Amino acid sequence: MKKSRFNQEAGGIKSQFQLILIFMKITVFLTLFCVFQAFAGNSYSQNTRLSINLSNVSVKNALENIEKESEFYFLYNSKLINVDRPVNLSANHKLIKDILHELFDGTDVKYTIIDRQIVLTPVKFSKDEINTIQQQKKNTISVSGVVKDKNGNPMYGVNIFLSKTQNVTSTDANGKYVLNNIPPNGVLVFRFIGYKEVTVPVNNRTTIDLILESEITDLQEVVVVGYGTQKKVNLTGAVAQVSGSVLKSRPVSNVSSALQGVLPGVVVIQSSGQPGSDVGTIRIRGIGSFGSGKNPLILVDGVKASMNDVDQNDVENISVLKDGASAAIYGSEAANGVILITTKKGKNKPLQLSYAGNMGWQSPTCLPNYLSSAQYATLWNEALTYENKAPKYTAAEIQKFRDGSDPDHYANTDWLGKFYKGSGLQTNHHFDVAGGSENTSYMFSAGYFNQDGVVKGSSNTRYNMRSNVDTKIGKRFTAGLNISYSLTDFAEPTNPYTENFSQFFRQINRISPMVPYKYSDGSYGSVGDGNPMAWLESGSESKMKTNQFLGILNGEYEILKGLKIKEIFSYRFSNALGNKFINDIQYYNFPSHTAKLYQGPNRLYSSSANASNITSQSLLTYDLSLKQHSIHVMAGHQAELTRNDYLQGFRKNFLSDNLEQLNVGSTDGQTNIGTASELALESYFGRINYDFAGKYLFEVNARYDGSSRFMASNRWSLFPSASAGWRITQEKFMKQFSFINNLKLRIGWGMLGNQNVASGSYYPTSSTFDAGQSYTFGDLIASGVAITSASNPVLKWEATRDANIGIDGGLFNDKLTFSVDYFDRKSSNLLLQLPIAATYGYAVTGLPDQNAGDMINRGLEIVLGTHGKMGPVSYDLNFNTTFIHNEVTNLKGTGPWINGNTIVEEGSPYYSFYGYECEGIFNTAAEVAAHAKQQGGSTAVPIGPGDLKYKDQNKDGVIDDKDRVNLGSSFPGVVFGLNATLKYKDFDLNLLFQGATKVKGYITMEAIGYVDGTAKPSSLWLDRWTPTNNSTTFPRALVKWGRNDGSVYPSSFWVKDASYLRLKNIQLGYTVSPKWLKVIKVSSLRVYYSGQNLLTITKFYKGFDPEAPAGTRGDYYPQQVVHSFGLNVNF
Amino acid sequence: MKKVFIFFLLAITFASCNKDFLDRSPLDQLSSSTFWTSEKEVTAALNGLYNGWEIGDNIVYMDCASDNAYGPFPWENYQVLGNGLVTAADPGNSRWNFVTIRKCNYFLANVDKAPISDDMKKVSKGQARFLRAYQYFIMEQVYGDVPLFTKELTIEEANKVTRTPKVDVVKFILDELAAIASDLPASYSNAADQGRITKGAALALKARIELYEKKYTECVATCNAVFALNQYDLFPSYTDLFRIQNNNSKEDILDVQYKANDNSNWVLGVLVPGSQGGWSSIDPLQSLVDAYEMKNGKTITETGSGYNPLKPYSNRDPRFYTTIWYPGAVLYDGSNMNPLDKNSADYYDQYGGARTGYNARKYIWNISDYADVWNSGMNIMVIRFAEVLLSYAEAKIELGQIDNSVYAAIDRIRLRAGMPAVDRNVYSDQTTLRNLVRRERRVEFGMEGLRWFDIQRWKIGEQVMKGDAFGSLNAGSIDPVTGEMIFAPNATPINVETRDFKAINYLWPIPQKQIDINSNLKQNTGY
Repeated sequence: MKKSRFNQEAGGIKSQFQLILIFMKITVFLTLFCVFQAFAGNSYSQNTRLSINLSNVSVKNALENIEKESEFYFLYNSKLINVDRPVNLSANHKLIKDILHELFDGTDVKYTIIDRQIVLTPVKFSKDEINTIQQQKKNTISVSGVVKDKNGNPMYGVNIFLSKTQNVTSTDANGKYVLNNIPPNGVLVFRFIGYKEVTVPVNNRTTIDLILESEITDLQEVVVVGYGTQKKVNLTGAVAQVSGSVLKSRPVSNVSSALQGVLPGVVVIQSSGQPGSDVGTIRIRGIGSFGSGKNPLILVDGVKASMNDVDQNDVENISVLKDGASAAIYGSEAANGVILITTKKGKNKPLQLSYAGNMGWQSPTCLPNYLSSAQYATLWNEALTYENKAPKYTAAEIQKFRDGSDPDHYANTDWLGKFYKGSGLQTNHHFDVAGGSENTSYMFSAGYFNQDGVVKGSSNTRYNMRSNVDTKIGKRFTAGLNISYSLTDFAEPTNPYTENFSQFFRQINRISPMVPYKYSDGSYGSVGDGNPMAWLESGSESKMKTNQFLGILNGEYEILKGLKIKEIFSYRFSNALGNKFINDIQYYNFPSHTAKLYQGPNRLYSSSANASNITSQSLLTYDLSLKQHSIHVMAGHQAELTRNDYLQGFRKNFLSDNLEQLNVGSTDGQTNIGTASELALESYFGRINYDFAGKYLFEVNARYDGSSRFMASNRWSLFPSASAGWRITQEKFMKQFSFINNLKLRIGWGMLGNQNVASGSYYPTSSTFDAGQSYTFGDLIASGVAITSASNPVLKWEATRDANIGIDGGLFNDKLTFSVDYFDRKSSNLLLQLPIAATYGYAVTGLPDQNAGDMINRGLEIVLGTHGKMGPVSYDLNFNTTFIHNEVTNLKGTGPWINGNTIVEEGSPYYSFYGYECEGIFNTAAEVAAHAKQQGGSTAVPIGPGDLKYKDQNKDGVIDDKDRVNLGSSFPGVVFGLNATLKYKDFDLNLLFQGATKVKGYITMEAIGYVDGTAKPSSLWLDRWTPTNNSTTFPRALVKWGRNDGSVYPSSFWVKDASYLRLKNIQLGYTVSPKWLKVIKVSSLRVYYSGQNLLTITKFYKGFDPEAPAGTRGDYYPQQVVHSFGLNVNF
Repeated sequence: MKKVFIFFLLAITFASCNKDFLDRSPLDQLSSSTFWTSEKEVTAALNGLYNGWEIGDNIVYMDCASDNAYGPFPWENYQVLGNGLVTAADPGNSRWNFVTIRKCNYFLANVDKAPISDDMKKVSKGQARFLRAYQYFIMEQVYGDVPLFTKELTIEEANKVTRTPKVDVVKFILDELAAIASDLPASYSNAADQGRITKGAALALKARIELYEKKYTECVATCNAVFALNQYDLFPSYTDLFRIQNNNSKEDILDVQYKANDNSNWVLGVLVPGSQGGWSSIDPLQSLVDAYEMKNGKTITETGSGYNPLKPYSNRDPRFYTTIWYPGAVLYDGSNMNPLDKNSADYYDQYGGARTGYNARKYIWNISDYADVWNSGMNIMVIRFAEVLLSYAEAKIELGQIDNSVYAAIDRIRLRAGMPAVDRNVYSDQTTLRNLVRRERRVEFGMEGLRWFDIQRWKIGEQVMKGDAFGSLNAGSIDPVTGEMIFAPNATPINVETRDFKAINYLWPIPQKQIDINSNLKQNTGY
C-alpha cells in the first residue's frame, strides 16, 4: 500500500516535471532561434572588414578575389553585367559595402547585400544620365559628420542621401557617416523612422553634424492599455503612465515603493522597511472592498504576475488603468484598478551593453525614545505617590542606576541601541544587453540586489534574469518570448516565544532598561517573555528561498491587411522553500545560576509552497481607416488555471543547532501539513474604438467572466464600459486660441468586478469538513472532523460602478500641461462577514461572507506639468494631487462594527478610529467632581487631577461605551507628489516630494510605554501632568494606568494628525562629458547620489513614522532612510 | 491550405475550454455533500464533536470569578467577573457559545444516513446529546434563560431566536441525561475509547444539576445510581491525582482529554509562578487560604486550632499545599517563594508577580512531570468521584436525612486527603454539617472551577464577593535556615482590589454584541 502510493506520487511529480522540461526545451530553442535570427540579419556584412589590393584586373577577377578572401559570394548574370571592365581596387580594412561602392559607383550596376550573398543587377541609366554622373563625379567632394539625437546620443542607422539620387549611406554605431561624390551645391537628406526628416544644403562644406529631433511629441506618445496600446491623444479613459526611467536610480528594493508619489490617484503606503517585506500597499482611487480583495490587478507584459517578478531596471513603463472605462476589459478582477507593467525590449540598434548599479546604506527614519533606568525609577516613585505608597526606589538606588556601579542589580540597558546594530548596507547591480535588427530585437538582463537590515539577521537578496526576444518570421508572422527568472533569499530573525519577527520590535520597545542585557556571569537577563537580545543572538532564523519563473510566448499573424490574430501563452511558477529554525534558550537566576525560564525546545518548520498559473489568451484585432473614419475592433478569449500546493513538516528536539533539516529532529511530536487548491477563470472580451477625424472618439468594452469560485448559477457575469472623448483643439473655432495647443474632454462609465473575495478563498461556496478537529481518547489522537466554517452558496462578485470625467490640456506648445479628473465609484455587493448571532453556532472566524455592503469613493485628481529653460538651467516640474472621499454607505442594516479602537459604520470612511473624545486633562479635584463619572478609577486611585477627561456625548452623567465617537480615518483623504527635475550643463537634480493629509494616526501600548514591572515608559512621559506642571500633552504617571491607556480607553487624545510632507527622493547626478569617455570606450556615464526618505515634516508622534501601521503598538520594522551612490554606464 | 490555417486559428481563439473547466472542488477537504457513507466517517464526525466541547482554561481560570482567586490580567477576561465591574460591553469570559450545540444538532440530524449498526447509532447519539446538554448546562447556569433549539438554525433564525426560560432548559437537560444514561455504556472496553462519555458521566452531571436545582431527592437517587455502577473510587493520593501519570484514574468521571503536541493542554503554564517561567495568572486569595482547616481538623478560628497568624502555613490541611504556592514554599528550583521581595520575579506589587502573594499549584505539583508545561497531555477533570460523594452528602444534609452515610461520604474525602474524620460532636446537626460540607467542597475543589457555581446557588455572593479582596501579609522575610516566611509583626494584608457584588451578578450579562445583532435577546436584569 505504502509503496504503490509512493510510486503514484512520484509519477505525479514526474509528469509535472516533464511538462516543465518540455516547456523549457521550447523556450531554449526559441531563444536560440531568435538570437540566431538577430545576429544573422546583417551582422556578417556589417562586421567583416577586408583588405584587398588589386590593380588593373577585371571586375570578374576582383569578385573572385573577394569570394576567396571572405565568405561572400556573388550572384549575377554575366550577360547583363559587364564583368570584364578593368578596375583598380585598394581596400584596407574596409566593409564590403565600401568595396562594392568603389567597384561599381557611377556604373549601371546595382548591388544588394543579403547577408553573405551579394546580388548584382543592372540599372538602366540613359546615356545622358551616365554622362552627367560622370561629369559630376569629377567635380565632387566627400561629406562626413556625426548624427546625434536630442540627448546627445549618437544615432545608428540614419539614412543620408543626396537628394534625387541613389547615392545613399547610413551612420555607423557612433553616428558617423561619410558620403562621397557629392556636388558642392547638392542637398543632403537625413531620414530616420520616428524622427523629423531634415534637408541640409551642402554649400561646399565637408563636415555636416546634425541633431535629429524626435517626431514623437507628447501627443504621439503611445500608452499601454488593456490588451493593446493606444495613442495618448486617442485615450478616452483615465490612464496614467510613467516611464521606467522615472523609477531608475532610486535606491528602493521594489517597484511598488518606487511608485510612491509618482502617479495621481495611486496611493502607496509603505508601512515597513524590512528587507524583503517592504512592498508598499497600493490603493488606486480609494478602497473598493472590505475584504482581502483591495489590491489592484497587476499584469506584467499582459499576464498576471507580481510586482516582485520585475526588476525595476527592466521596466519600460507602467500604466495604471484607473477608471471603469479603461479597466472594464479586465472585468471581474479590475475593481481595484489595473497596473500594467511593460518590460524593456530591444530596438533596431546594434548591441548595446549597459550597467546600472548603486550602493547605499539604510538607517531608520526615526526610532522611539525610552527613559533611562534612573528616569524610570524616579517616575515610578512619583506614580506610587498617587496610590499613597512609599517610593519603590531610594535615592541611592536611583544613583546606582545612573552611575552604573552595579549593573547586575541596577542595570540601565539601551535595548534599542543594542538591537539596531545591523549594517543596513544595500547593493544593486544590473546589466542589460539590448539590440536588434530590422526583423529581430532582443533584450537580456541580469540583476542582483542585496539588502542587509538595520537589525542583524534580517536580509534579502534577489537575483533576476530576463530575456525578451521578438522576431518577425516572413511577412506576416511575428513571435516573441519573454522569460524572466528570479531567486530571492529572504531571512529574518525569529524567536522561541511567538515564533515571529514582529515580537522583537514589541519587546525591544517594551522591556525595561532595568533588566540587564546580560549579567556579569554571562547569562541573559530576562522577563516573563524572555529577552529579545537573547533571541536575536540565539541564531533562530526564518528563511525563505523563492524561485520564480515567468515565461510568455506570443505569436501574431496578419491574416489580411488590418486583421491580426495573436496567441499568448504564459506560465508562471514559483516555489518558496521556507525553513524556520528556532533555537531554545535557557535563562538563569542571578547570581545562583540556577535554571530559570526555559524557552524551547528547539524546533524546525520546513515548508514548500508551489504556485503555478497557466494562461492562454487569444486576440483578434481589426483596424480599418476610411477617409476620416477609423475603427479598431478587438475580440478575445482567455482561460487561466492557478494551482497552489503547500507542504509543511515540523519536528522538535534537535540534537544539533547547526543541522537545520527535519531528519535531525526527534520524530516525537512531529507534524505535517499538506494542502492544495485550484482556481479556474475563463473570459470573453471585446472592444470597439471609433474615431472621426481624430476629433470625436468613442470606445466600448465588454468582458464576460466566469470563475470557479462561484456556484454555477452565479458563475458568469458581464462587465461593460463605454467612453467618449472630444478633442476640442481639432475644431476650427479653436484656431483663434492659438495658445491652447491641446484640449480634450473625456467621459467614461464602466462596471467592474472583484472576485478576490472571501479572504482569498478559492472555495467560498463549498461546505467542507475541517480535518483539524481531532480529540484525544486514552492518550491517543482520535481523528475528528467538523464543519467549522459556514458556506454561502449564493455568493457572487462584488461590483463597482465607475464614472469618470476628465479634461486634458496643453498650453503654449505644451510648456504647460494639465489634466483634471473627477471620479465617482460605487462598490456594491461588497462581501461582508455580517455579524451573525452566536446562536448560529459558528465561531466568528467561521462566519460566511455575504454580498451586502456598499461603499463609495469620490474624488478629484489634478496633474500639472511645466518645463522650460531659465538661463542655463532647464527644468521639468510635475505636480499631482488626489482628493479622495471614501464612505461606507450601506452595511445592510448592521453595524456599526466596533473592534477595539476602530469602527466601520454607515456614513463614515471605512475603518475609522473610534473612541472617546478627550476634552483635555483634569487639573483639579473640583473639575473631576463636576464632570460626568468616568470609568477606570479604583478605590486606591480614583479618577483625579492628571487623568484624561472624556466628553460626555450623551450627557447622561456617565462616561461609558455610548460616549464613543468617530475619531477620523487612517486612510489619507489627500495625497500629493511633486517631481522636479533640474538640469544644468552635465548636472541633473531630481527631487520627489510626496505627502498626505487629512489622515489620522494612532499609537498605543508599548509605543507609549507603561510604568509597571518589566515594561518601560517612553520619553513622551517626560512632559506628563504633575500637580505643579499642568501639562496638556500627557496625563499623570500611574502604575495602574488603564484609565488613560489608549488601548483600554481609546480616545482622541492619542489620535494625532498624521499628515506629512516627505522628501521621498533626492537625486543629484553628473553625466560625464563624452570627451572623457572616448578614452575609456564608454558611450555614456552618469554618476549620482540618491537619498530616500531624507526629510519628513510631520506633527505626528516623535519617534514614529507617519506611515507607521495605523493604531500601532510599535511592533513593526521601522521605515528607512537610504543614502546611496550609483553609476549608470552605456558601453 | 491557408484558409484552413486561418480557420484553425479562429477556432482555437474562440473555442471555450472544456465544459467543466470551471468546476473545481476542494482538493484537501471532505465535502459535506458526500459524507456519511461509512463507520469511519461517523467516528470522525463524532470525535469532531468532542473537539472544544470544554477546555481546560474554563476550568482553571473560573475560580478567578469567585472569592477563591484573583485574575491579575484584565485581558484574560476573569478580573471583571471577580470584582463585579462586568458589563454587557465588557462581559469578561463569554460562555455564550453554540458551536458545540450546532455541531451536535448537525450530527444528530445526519447520522442516521450512515450505514452503521443500531448500537453504534445509539451510543454515538448518546455522546452527542450529552455534549449538547453540557453546554446548555453551563449556559443556563451563568446566563439563566438561553435559546434552546435542537436543529441547525439558518442565519435568519439564529438572528431572531429568543431566550427559553431556564426552567425549561433545565428540564430539557435532565430529560436528555436521563434518556442517554440508559443508552451509554458504563465503560468502554477499548482503551482507545477512554475519555468518551459514559453512563457514569451522564448520571454525575445529572446529579450535579439536581443539586444545583435543589432537587435533593432526585440528586440522592442519581448519586446512588452512580455508586451502583461500581466504576469509580477515590484515588489514594490527593496530590498525585492531579499529576499527568494518573490521567484517567478511577476517580475521573468526566474530563477534557489532552495529548501533548497534537491536542495539547497549554493552560498549565499560566498557573506557574513568574519566577519559574509562568504567567502567574491565577492568584489565590487569603479567603481560600483561610478556609483550609488545620491538620488537626479544626478551623483556624476554632479554639485549640494552634493557628499562628504570623506562621499561617504551618500544620494546615495537606490539600492546601497541593493547591497553593505560598510565601516561603520551596519552588521547583529549590528556592523559597518570596512574593514580598521586590527583587523577586514573584514580587506581589508588580506586573507578572504573585499579586496576592499566592499562586495556584494544583496540576503543577511537579513541573518536571511535563516536558513542556505549555504543551502537555494533562487531562483536566470536569467531574470526579469526590464531587458525587460531596453532592450526595450535601443533598442528604439539605433533606435533613443526616445518617451515617453522610458522615461516611465526607470522611472518605477527608481521610484520603490526610485529614481526621469528621468530629461527630462538632458537626452534629444540619447547620453545622451544611457549613462543613460547603467548606469541604471549597477546599477539595479549590482551583477546579466549581466555587462560582456554589456561590451562585447558595446565594452567598453578597457575603463573600463584596469588599476588599486580600492576599497574604505584605511584609516579611525568608528565614535563611528554615526557608520559612517570617512575617513582620507590623505586616498588613495585601489589598488586591476592592470588589463589588450586586444581586445582578448572580448571572452574567449576555455579551452586548449578541444583543446588538439579535434584539429579541433580552438582557439579564441590571445590565
